[in-house]
Amino acid sequence: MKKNILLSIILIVAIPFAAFAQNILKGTVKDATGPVVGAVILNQSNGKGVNTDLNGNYTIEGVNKGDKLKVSFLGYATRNIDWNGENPLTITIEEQGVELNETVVIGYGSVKKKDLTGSVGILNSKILEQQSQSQLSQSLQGAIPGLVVTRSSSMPGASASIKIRGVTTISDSSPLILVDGMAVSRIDNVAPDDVEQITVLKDAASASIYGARAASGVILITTKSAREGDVQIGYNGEMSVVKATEFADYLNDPYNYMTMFNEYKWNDAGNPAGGDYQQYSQDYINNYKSNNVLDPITYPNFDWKSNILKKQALKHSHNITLTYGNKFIKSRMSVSYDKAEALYQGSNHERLMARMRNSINFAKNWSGSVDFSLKHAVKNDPQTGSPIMAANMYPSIYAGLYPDGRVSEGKTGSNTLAALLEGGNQITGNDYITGKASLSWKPLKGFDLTGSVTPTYSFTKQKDFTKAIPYYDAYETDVLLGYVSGYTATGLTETRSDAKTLETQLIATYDKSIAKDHKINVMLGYEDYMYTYETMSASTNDMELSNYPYLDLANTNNLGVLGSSYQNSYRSFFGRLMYNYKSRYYMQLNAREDASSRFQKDYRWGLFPSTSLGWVISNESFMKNVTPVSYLKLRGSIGSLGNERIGNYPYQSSINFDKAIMYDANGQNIVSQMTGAQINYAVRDITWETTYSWDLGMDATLFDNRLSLTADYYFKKTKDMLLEAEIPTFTGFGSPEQNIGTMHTRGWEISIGWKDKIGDFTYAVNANLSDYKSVMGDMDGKMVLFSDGTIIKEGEEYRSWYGYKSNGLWQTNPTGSDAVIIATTSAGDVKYVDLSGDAGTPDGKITASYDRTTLGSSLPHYVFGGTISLGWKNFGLSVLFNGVGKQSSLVTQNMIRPFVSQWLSAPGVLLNSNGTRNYWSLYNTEEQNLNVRYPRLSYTSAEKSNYEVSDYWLMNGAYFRVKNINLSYKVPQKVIDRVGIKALRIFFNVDDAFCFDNYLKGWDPEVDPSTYIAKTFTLGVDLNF
Amino acid sequence: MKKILYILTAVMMLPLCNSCADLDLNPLSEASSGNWYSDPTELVISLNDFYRDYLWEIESGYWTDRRTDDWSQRDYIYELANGSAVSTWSYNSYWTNTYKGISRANRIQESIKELRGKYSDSELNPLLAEALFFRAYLYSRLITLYGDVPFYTGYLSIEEAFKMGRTPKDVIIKQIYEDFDYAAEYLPEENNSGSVTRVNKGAALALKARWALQFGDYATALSSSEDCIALGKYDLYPDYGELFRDKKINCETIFTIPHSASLELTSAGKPNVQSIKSYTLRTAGGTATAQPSWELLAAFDCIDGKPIDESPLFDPHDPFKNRDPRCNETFVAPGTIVYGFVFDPSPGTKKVLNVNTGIMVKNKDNKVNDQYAAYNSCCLRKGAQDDWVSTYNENPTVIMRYAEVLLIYAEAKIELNQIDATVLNAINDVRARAYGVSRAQVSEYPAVTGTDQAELRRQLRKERRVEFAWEGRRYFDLLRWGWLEKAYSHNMYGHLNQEDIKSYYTAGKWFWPEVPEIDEDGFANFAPMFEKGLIMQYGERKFDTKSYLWPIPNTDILINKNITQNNGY
Repeated sequence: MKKNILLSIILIVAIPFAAFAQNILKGTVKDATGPVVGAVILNQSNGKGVNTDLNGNYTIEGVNKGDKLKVSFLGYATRNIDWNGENPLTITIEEQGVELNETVVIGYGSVKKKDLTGSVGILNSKILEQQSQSQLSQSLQGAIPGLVVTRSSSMPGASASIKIRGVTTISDSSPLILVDGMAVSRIDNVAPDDVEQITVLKDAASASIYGARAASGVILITTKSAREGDVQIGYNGEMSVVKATEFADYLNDPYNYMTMFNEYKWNDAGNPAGGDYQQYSQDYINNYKSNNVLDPITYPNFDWKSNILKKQALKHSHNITLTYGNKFIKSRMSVSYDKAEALYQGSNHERLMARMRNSINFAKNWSGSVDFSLKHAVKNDPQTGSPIMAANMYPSIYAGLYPDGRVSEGKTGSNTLAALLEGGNQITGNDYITGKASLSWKPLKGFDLTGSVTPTYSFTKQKDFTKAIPYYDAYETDVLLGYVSGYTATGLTETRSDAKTLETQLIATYDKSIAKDHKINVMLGYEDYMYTYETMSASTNDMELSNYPYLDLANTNNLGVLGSSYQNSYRSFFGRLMYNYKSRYYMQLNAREDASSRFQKDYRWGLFPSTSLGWVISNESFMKNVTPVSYLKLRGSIGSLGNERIGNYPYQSSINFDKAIMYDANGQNIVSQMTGAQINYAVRDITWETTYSWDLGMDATLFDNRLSLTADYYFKKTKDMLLEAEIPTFTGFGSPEQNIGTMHTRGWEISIGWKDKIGDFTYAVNANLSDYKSVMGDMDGKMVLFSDGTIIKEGEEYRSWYGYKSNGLWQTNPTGSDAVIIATTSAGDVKYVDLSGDAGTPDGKITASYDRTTLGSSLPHYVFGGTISLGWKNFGLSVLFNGVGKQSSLVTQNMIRPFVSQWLSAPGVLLNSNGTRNYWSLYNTEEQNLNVRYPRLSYTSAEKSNYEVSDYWLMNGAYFRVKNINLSYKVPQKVIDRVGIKALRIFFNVDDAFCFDNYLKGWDPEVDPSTYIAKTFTLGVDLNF
Repeated sequence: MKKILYILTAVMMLPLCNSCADLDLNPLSEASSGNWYSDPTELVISLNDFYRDYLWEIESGYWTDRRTDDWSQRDYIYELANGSAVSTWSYNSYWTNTYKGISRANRIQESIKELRGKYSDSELNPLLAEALFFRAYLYSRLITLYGDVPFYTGYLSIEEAFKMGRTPKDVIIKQIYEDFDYAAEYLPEENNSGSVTRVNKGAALALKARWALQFGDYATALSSSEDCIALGKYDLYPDYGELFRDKKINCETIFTIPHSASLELTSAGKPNVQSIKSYTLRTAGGTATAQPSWELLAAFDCIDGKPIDESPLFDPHDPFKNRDPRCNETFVAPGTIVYGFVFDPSPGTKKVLNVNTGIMVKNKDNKVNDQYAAYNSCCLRKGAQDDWVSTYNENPTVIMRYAEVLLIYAEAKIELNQIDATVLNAINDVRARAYGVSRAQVSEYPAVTGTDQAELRRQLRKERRVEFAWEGRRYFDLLRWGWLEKAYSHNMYGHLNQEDIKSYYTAGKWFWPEVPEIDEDGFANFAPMFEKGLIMQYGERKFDTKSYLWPIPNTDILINKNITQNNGY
């Protein structure tokens, strides 16, 4: 009715004009919900254009019948109209590619994407829904430029590590994660199905409103909530099959194992003449196969892999959502459940999550909300941990089971299969509960005062039960031969930890437009936070019964108890001013002052201001006619962030308690005595680490919003870094955290997208690429060495590889004057370069002190990702890809070193595909030895020389991965209407479909040797009632 | 309206006032250094720290013996014994842990200064004495292994540490003596007034003597060992074999650290003591990974007091016959019972007796039945407890026993060329005890009689090797006597494999085909047998001149220019 009146008015107003001049066209532009303000109507025939006013009305002069009119507005599909003389003309435009108009959650508020001035990455639920990862962290890989997600496994419950714009700090580079404004410790505490939007605050200006907690960036997750008018029940169900990818080959067959083992032993015995069959005689090897047929107990040929690993594992997940909204109450509730199995027995991950969001407008100007979420997760694991290495590397000449299925000795008691089957398990349960209650009061238009309280509780319960595994004689089944190593006694450890946080906030915001053109938004806030952690554990060993994993059966002679607790807290004041003029010029000022309990009173407070500016060039009048450009914004920001994520009491030196075992006064009995010692230095003046950063960025959409482009360049300088730099080890104290050194980071990010529609066919392509380099500045000569072979050192890239330079293999035995690392170095060992010595020049020796150097970056560079999506009628197909353009990876010893633990099988890469040796050997010809890749078989050389960190073992870790392929079909409305279903979508997914790389054969460049990355095939359904 | 505003403000502020996060937080489950070390009770708790395992790793688990020619472990040679030690090796923690002990002793010393006047000297002095005892011990071990080292006795700031260089050994030795002397003066003879046994005067004297000897300071070694003997507190335990199976403090114990699998637990609740299966019989469920070496087996004299290549009593086909009794207390003689089984590595013995069940079982300790049977067909007897197969090594880590004081006394006097009857008595006391007789019963054991310095030196060195085999003394002895090169020039040998051992056995060559030659310093030479193809060479030892000192941890070199590395690392 209202609309009709409006129309009538317009008609009445328009008539007189129509009567006088036929070339003045009037009308309204509207969309599905009403008039559109600010839409552009361009007469392409004469280049004249106008904007619609506050009521969506427009007046355009000089229009002739047949002129081509173009109506465009940001976030809407452009309409081309051949004017047929209709006057007034109501033009309806359709929303399309809402990206620029969508509301983006930023710190303590939200803005439209087009009004952003900081560098913010946004991810919508769509990209998450099409994957079948139950862990949110794993779904983010490749999704947002500058967000580097690394994972090492796709085992059930495995998480991935997330870093925003790389490292800024050394202590803890994981970003702050807030779900609907509540900080969570792990991003995986959110069910991917519940996520509406993920915002990543990348630059200082965006993140600094979170002050100290934002040192490594901020990820804001908004979960889905109800809208007015919603009454909906949704169901999403998925069923997956996880298939093992090919595991690396090991030479575990009897022949290869025994002949190579003989060579290995012979080499270490100094190659005595006639010692070729050092361990296994020639006859023994030659007759092994035939002996195996006759007597498989004495001559086993046991397939560890097929006994330990399953061909496939199952995974399923279900999610039910209830949404309801009216004028007063809006509620959304969801419950998800998922369970995933690993590729080996006894390992699975089960999770139940529930989330509830309620908001009530309970009185005029008053509203409140209560949010609540719960996670209950249980992870079951066998006591062995991951048996993957055992499955691959155990030689087949040792049997895990007798032919009748009983546990056998394995390799002198080492028997991972027995441990997997009978060795007990580890159950880890975690319950995580958050609530948030808030109350808002809006006494004036544009003014909002909100107070909230957010408590979270996390309880972890772990039960570690190890069972004794006896093994008996093959024939005399009651003759006990011994116990599997590590499983000689039944023991139980129970651990209970709990953590609680309480966050309190008071925020006032004021939103005001002055004279239409000036928009101001002011926000002031206060926040404080308290974290308390407590843990205790009790353990017993040598229990008499092995079927009761409870401490009431503990052996009181073997009791251990542990407990500890710590706290930290902070308090902050913050404020923000946002201003824009005519949606062209934007400005934002932020400041936050934090105080942390980690620092001593006088060094506690830190102030972190920032500012950002934006210029929407496309809204300038001179851009009106630049038709390819739909939207163009330049933005820049500068600001600082603080970091304090270190130990809890660094300015106090604490006394550690332990115990010593001593004789009683008579020397007859043994008693346990308490001990105490100061274990670290107190650094009284330790204070904030500060990162200063600036960012220059550009957002543009072109060709009717079909092409979108975002680019950023940034620079960061981290000062007073909190580093656990090495201190002389003879101080007797551990390295304390100190404010040392600076780091400079330069980086860039670019993302580009194209989308279009041709008839029923829609397609979209998005890609992003980013890189950064962090170089250490002045460090006062100090350095940090890491056990993974990397170093933090002045002038070098952050965590560069640090090791020896190699120069092939020794082809002849080194003479006395050759520089070697150990006295036993022989032909076939890795040859290192003598770089320096005591006096600063090569000294004829290879030593760790003088001959190690930096060997380049260890971090991934040119990280990229993207999606390709195609749609035709009800069908959709999308492909997600991601990868790393450049990375130098150090292969781990398990991948290349033969006879790890002095008995496990040698890696398959040691032989060429035609069976010839790819390692240096006295049995090779000189020429063959010149072409081999791997050093000779030796224990002594392996321990202290050949597999030291050196460029010999750095390999190309770059890869391109097709991360997900998703095919979906929307069942036609006609079909489902009959059964009362609102929407039904069926889809099929393949996760981790392919990977292209040049890495070591048989290994995924992302994987850790003890785990796997598997292909997952999923069938799923999305249902809405 | 106003009312609403008040209520609103009150509601909003309520949670804030309640929680208002406190920023002055203190450790909850730990004490802080500001208020610790404030009374004798806390000092005693701090002193207890010195009895923890982290300081005694080098003395435990046969650590040093593994790096000597007394050790045989399949085909494995430890890094010091083949010149493959490097400055990034994992044993850098020994350096760090030793300094942890030193800085903690310093901290206690500083704290006691503060407490003077508040508590009586008679209460504080023994506490200080105990701290200084450990500091002296730790510095002694440090300079023996690393040479000149960074040296400090008070609080050391990070800044000072970055500038510190290595102090000459001699300066440090002065402080070591001072500390030991203070300890000897103020530690009581029986230091167990509390509920536990702590180090005492005897320990201070004995260990001062040991390290003085190691430093080549024979005069101090002599006087200090004399003082210890003069206490009259200690005696030799009558039964040599039982001595190592006795887990309690006995008359011979001077300083020892006990072990208990039920009290020493890891944070995961697992026993944190040495697992001992590597030394036990395969037939009994052990792995027989490591054994005393053939060279050690050859080092015991025959009961006539002559080396095996001179004594007519020696039979290479039964080398356990007619030997110094300590031989069969160190090695399990074939045919004897250990771990409930009869040990017999002979390739001819297919089955052995399970003593507990009376059933003959497969003999997994011969190389025909089991390829991983001890490569040299030996087995450790010393200290072996019958429950070692299923449990852990709960034998104490003996740091010092009285027999060593006697031999330190003898060695110091021999080196000073003050040879008299007391020297012979000291050696003979030790030897006679091994034979289970008194020193006077010279017909029952081969007593040492000569007074020639060189000959006595040889006798003493041989005596130390066999008396203290696998007790952590051999490595330090080799260092002191300059014998590393000699020891590491001998490779590791064992029996032939599988088919070959069968024919070797049937040809009557078992146990050894011939008598190995013993040189004047007691080193046996198996190379000729190997060259004839009669035995196997499993590992190659190698001497490197750098081996007399350990590498300074690499990071200390990298971050502090004043710290120089030991030559060769």
